[in-house]
Amino acid sequence: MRVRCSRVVPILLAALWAAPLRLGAQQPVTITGRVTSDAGVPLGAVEVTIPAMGLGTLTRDDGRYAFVVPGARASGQTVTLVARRLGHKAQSAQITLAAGGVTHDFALAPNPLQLGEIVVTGAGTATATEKLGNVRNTVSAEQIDKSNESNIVEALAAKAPNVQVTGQSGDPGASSFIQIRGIRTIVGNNQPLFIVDGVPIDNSATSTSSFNPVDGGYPGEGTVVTNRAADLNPNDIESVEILKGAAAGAIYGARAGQGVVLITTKSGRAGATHFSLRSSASFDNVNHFWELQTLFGQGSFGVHADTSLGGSCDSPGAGICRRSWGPRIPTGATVYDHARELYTTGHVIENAITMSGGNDRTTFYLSGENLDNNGFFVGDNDRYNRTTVRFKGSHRPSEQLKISANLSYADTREHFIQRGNNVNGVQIPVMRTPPDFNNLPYLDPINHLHRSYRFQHPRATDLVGDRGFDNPFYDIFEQRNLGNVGRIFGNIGGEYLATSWLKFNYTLGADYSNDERLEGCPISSSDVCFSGRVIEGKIVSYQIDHNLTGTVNFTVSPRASGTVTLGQNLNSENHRNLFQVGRTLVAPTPFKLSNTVLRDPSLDNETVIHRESYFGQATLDLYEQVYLTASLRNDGFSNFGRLSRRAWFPKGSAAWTFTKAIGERPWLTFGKLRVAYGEAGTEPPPYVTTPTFFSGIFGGIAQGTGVTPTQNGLGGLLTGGQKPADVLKPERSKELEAGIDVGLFRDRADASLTYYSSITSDVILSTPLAPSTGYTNQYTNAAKFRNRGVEVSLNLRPLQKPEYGWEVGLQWARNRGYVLTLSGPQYIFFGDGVAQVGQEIGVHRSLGFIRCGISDTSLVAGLAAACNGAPQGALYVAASGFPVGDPNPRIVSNPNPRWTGSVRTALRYRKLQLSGLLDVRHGGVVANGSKGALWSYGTHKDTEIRATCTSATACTGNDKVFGQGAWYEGPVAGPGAGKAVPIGQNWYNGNLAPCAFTGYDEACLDQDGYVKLREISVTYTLDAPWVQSSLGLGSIDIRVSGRNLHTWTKFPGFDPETSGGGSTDAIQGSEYFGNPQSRSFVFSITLNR
Amino acid sequence: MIRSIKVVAVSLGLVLGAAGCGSFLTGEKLSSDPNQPSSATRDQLFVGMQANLFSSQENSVAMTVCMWMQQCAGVGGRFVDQFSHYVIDEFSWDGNWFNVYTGGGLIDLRKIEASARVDGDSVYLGVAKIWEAFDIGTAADWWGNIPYTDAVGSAATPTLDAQAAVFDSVQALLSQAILELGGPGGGPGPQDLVYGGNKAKWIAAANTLKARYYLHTVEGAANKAAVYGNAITAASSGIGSTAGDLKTFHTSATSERNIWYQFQLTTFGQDVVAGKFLVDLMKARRDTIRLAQYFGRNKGGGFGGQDMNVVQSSDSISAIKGGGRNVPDFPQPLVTYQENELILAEAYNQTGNDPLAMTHLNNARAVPGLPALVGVTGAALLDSIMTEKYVALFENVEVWNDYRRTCIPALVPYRTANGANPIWRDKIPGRLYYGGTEGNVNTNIPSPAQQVSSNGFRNPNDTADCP
Repeated sequence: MRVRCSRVVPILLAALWAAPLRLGAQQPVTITGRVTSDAGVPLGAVEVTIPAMGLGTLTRDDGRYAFVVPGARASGQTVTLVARRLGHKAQSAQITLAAGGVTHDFALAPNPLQLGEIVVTGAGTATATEKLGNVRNTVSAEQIDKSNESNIVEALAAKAPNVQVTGQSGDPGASSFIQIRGIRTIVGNNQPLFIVDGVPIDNSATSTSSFNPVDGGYPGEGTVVTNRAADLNPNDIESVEILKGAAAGAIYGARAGQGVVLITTKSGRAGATHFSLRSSASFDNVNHFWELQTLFGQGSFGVHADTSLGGSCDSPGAGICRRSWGPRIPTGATVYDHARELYTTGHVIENAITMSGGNDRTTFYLSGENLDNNGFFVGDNDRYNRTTVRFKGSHRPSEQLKISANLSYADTREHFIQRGNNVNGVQIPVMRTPPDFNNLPYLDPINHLHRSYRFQHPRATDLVGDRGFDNPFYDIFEQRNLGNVGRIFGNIGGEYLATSWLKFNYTLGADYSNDERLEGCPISSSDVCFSGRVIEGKIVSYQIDHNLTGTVNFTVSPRASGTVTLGQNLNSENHRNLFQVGRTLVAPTPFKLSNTVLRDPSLDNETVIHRESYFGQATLDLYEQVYLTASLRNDGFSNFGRLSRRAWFPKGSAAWTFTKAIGERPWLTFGKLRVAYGEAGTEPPPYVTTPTFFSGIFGGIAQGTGVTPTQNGLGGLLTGGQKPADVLKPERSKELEAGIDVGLFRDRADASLTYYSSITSDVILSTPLAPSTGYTNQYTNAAKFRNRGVEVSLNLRPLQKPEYGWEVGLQWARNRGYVLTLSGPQYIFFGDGVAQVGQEIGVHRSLGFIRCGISDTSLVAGLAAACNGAPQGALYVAASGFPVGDPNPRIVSNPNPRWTGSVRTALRYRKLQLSGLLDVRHGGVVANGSKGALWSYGTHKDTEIRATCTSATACTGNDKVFGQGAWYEGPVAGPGAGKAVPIGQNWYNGNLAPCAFTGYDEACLDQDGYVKLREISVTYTLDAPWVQSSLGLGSIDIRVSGRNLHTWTKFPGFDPETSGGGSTDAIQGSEYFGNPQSRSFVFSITLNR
Repeated sequence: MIRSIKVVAVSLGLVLGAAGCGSFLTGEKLSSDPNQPSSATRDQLFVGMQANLFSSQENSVAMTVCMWMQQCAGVGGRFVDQFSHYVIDEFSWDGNWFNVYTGGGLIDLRKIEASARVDGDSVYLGVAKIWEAFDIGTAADWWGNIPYTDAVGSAATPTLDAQAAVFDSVQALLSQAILELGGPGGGPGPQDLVYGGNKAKWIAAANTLKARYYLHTVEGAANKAAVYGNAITAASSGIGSTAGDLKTFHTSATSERNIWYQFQLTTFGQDVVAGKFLVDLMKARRDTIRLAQYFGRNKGGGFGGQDMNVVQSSDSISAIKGGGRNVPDFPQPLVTYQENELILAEAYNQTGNDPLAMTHLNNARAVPGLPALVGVTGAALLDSIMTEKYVALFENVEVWNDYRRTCIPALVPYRTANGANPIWRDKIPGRLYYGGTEGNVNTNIPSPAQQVSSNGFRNPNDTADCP
């Protein structure tokens, strides 16, 4: 019976195919065969087609394929059968369509350099790999699959040199930030343009507020909301091309200054209908923790806080309750592990199905995915659920015309946990809780009200009232930070072959999303939420993109041929943010505006940008070895300045396959030299060229405070601080890139080396103005940056046998970005960094200690004398034995890595595959604000060894000498040099060390580099005959993999691949109470048919 | 081929047709910001300007001065506490520097004045000039030499005017304003959140302000008696009763509440508590009514404050929250009858007329219901006057100006836990750092280190250190 079933299905299918055609005289011809690598390994997903007839299919994992030529079209003719697969050299064969069927096997040679493959190069253009004048960085579906990342951006981590990906945390749905070849701009968020199937998509990330969207707070705080590219189902992605820099991206003009990420989704192919069902379960937990002390309890100067009922810790203002500088906790007393208590094992369940197929005229691809991620925080409020469907179809009504549609719907439900600089977030409260206070239960057992370490026994009358800090469990279980996204995006298109030499392509794309936000902060939370707060909001975004190209193919002679493409692009991008804050809940629930007493002025912000562009590209292939490309784009954007409405962006590149000229050698099978120059830009933000008046909230003293210009029912306005820009041009990057690609030792190895140098001029900056002019800032083309770097990749395939194989890939890259000029101010802040002439872009400007040769000698009497003979930079130690803060800010650290790299390896033995990926970020220093704050609170592990202090001036023990014994090691000078001083609450909670509160960031710098075991996976492919015979399946892939299993780093705290600033922050590498990263184990099974 | 040509023609038509839409890049929501108004009336700017100057008198600087003058104290180790410990930098009050010049500050005052001139509304012009004098005079108090003649004009990096010249300009502005208030025009009327357009009250307030700013020049004056004489002349026409007090305006509406009140609702606000020096002083003076207005009760039901140098039991400390003044619509007194009387008292005392000085001191003491003093003269009387002013002007930045001139009351500066911080020379900071944004752009601004080491971080009008 089982046998029969498995045979019935294909027969039925064949019958269905054949049925309408049976009236014809001819018999259908079945073409079958098997495709292997030249090492004898069966190859799945090989496209086997008869291009002339538009027929074909894909091989199964056992390498076998079969498809039928309808009888009406088979007349015994001879046709070309082609087998192609990415990573292998295509092969063709002549077959005769004779009755009874044809069998043909292929053995494909590897094609490590991907020669002959078609590469999309943007705006409707494509070329063959060997003709490309730029370095190619492609990420395949398989690599995305192996990464086990649900966010396509995070899946790009460590896949290409100088493509730096930073995940904001391990929270479900957390955004990821991508930076290509360093910081190029400081307007916007420094993200590349994302193009899916030719249409730009929204990849913004709008953080939820820290319950203060209108009245201040800190930008980028709140939660780690998803970047919108994560609405893509990774299973739908066929390949990703990363266009680095201006030389590659110039065809996208003023939007390509930060590079372009071109995503191509999977399509159906003619032939048997393929099904695949993938189920995976992932278990994740926190991969790195902060280390907290567990020896000293709540209190100050060795005095324990009164934590009894009615004691001082029932008043949120009581200073003695705030910190852990109390006496030693008696042995035997219970201590609580606040570093780890919030976390459990999270999980992801993902089910994805795809179905694809088609015939000679029509193809389809249909997919669905559901992903449910309950994150590693206890409870169910850190959650990310994504459901996507995609339909992609094409039809050829005639030989000349192909029409297609590609539509995707994503429904994303996001539940986030507040973090960052936020007393209503979890990290500040939990890591500052004294080790002798139990955060559980979070509701008082008698009065059932919110209890926290600063307000330990709420009375029945204490429902409304500030807790000082929230109990982190109260936040996790009682708060809501929701984003519900409905998004539809896709395109319709047509391809029209007007003549053999002229082709038109048209794409009309749309991307619409509606992100409904709800933030609910329950009554009796701390600070701004003491009486409860509700924020309802809506982020509506839509973009319509029209792209029309015409391409002419010409052949002058066999030695000279080429193409000319002309195109037009129209784009309309609209965003609207609507937010309303309701203060003071009437009843504890529901979190609805209608259930609040007071409402803030609403936030209603919309932006509209129109873009109208024309572009052209010409290619010329000479002697089948020299390939020239030139392109030119003219952009007119509504957000350019009135006097500079349009801008030109040229590009030119040349590639020379010199092995065609000098001939192949055994050790050099392929060699290509390439050079490319291109210009691309960054558009200014909209509405910076017109004067405006301000009506919002200002003048506050801390988050949650402020007034409006309107008072007492009388409308008020203020002149906007931003002075209108007179002339504003798009920012322009001019980039020169040159490199060499070689295939070595009969394709056993290949290597690529690329050097680039880019000058970004007219850098658009919100330039500070002297406020005494009446304005605070103005958008201007104010700076010039330079980025230079080198990228190397080396792939080795030392063992390639039918039974086993081994591959190793190495990537290494460095980038140095400098500020060459800056007009106006001395420096410009962006994120946590600055642009300052002569410095690397993004260095950290802050306060440090008084140091010889650096600090102004007039600051302290005797400084010049003390520094006489001392080395430059020697730490000045005052008579007290302590350093002194220098009020002049200076560059204290550089967060940019010195180099990045990765090592990838894959081992294969029969059906078993093992692969791994190591990711390295070397160098980079950040000011660790969390560490400084935890020092101050006496909960950091460093404070476990502490002087005994009875007041700030009376401490004994734990003596340290500044400059010695790994204690701020280095040369010292001054009257207190060499003096031993006690280090306890006096230092850690003093006026220098807790950098987050004092601003002296030099006191708490940390190395930020890491080596990370990003991916490791073991896959077994079951394709034994019984799989087909008894299950009716082609193959079953079973995979066990790990993600971020280990990170080697000197950074104390959570994994350094986080950012305090969220994905909207241009500079990564700040740290202030972000949520942790995760590691995960993933089990997946894929059924293919 | 003919078909191909047709196709080409149609396609070209599509391209060119779309390109013909010249308005695609301009128009509504494209050419101008749809989110903010692009014009404002004089009345709208006047209302906004008041909200700005109210908040800048109530926010960060006021909080800092309250702590430095030990009326308040900082606890908790966070930035508020750090301010109280003189851990400050050029960005500590950057926002207050903005308030002086940018939207709601000098730029809008100039627009209001220009519009009033065009309309011939002399009263409106006069009121605006008083606000300008108050705005710019306050800035000179906080930062000493400041951009004024060059400010809000075409200069990208305005030069600094000497503090004395700014005070001269303030006097001139106030004199002009007093004249203009007698001129034609309807004035701001109900847009005036302080006096509702009452001209007499504005004239009185302008005179008290004149007296205040005379005193700010007295310490370094060659002829102190003349300056005191000017102050007496002005104050004699100054605010004559508490009904004439110049106070901020607030309601209980979310974005119209007193900033001190709003701040006390936040977690950072709880880091500002009662200062032990002021609480102990008021207790010794049996100033009980005001004590309960200024501060909440401590855990024991009484009043206590935090000492800058000696850690106090937190159970003994009073919060500001809970004090009678800490309500959302409390109008913060900026220039008052009490100040006017105490200016007169000081000026008479300093010019040898202790009986009149005593009269005016007792006028001020009568406001909170304190008994009249008798028989105090000379330096002791000055101490009584300045001490009364120190208590009466709680949360008002003028307390700091008085301290810097008179060194009354005798405050012990905060001493860093790790020994004396050599930067501060064991003194209370005598000015604010210029705003970091100004320093970043304006090359006329000395570096923070130069500010620290010049005149001992004091303004030019503060010629002598306090002990």
